[in-house]
Amino acid sequence: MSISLVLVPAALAVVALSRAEAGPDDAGRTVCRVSTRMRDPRLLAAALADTGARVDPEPTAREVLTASWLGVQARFERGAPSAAAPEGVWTAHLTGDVDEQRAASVVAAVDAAYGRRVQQAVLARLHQRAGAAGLSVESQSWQGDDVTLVLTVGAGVAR
Amino acid sequence: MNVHRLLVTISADGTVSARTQGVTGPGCLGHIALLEDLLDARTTASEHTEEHLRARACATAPLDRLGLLRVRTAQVAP
Repeated sequence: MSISLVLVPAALAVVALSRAEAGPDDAGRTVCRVSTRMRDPRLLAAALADTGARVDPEPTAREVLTASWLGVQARFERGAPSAAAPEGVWTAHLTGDVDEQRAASVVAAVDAAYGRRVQQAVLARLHQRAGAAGLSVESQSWQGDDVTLVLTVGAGVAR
Repeated sequence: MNVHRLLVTISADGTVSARTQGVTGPGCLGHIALLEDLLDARTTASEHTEEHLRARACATAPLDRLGLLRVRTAQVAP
């Protein structure tokens, strides 16, 4: 019996990026809001830095992250828990020189950087824990941006 | 002796696809939990491979109970 699987790491919610929605804040400024699939504040901070953002504060404050690029500021807040994301996903609130289209573009760039960070984290975790799980890494190869590992199942693992 | 392998592809968007190779019998279901724990991930879709559908080596009920199975009946060997 053989099976194929699709798995989503815990750092990702099983939701798609939402469309950007613009509206005024309490000060009358236009704010563009975009809900994301991102869940891990440490990886989010790293992804923001990857896009050239200045991130403040460091991800010790786990419920809010702010980032700024030239002319654009973003405040990331963790949303309410849901079935798809029990710990809540991060929503971006963008202000400055930004409209819905640019907001979506900015968040898509952050999402792409976040995906690469998740990929690195999953790859590192796999290498770190494979041995203890009774697996050995037989090979690792890259095809474009995707990496494939062949793992050999060792003795003692359910077959 | 048949070698059991797991082929794991980690995409740049962070999602993971995996496939068992050379695994016979219902024990391959244990690999789902193994991979989920190893990768700190949860399975969102699964299906038997063509290899399995030819061999029909084990019942599909366990996967059905997990709500994970999508059998491609068009590929079931006569």
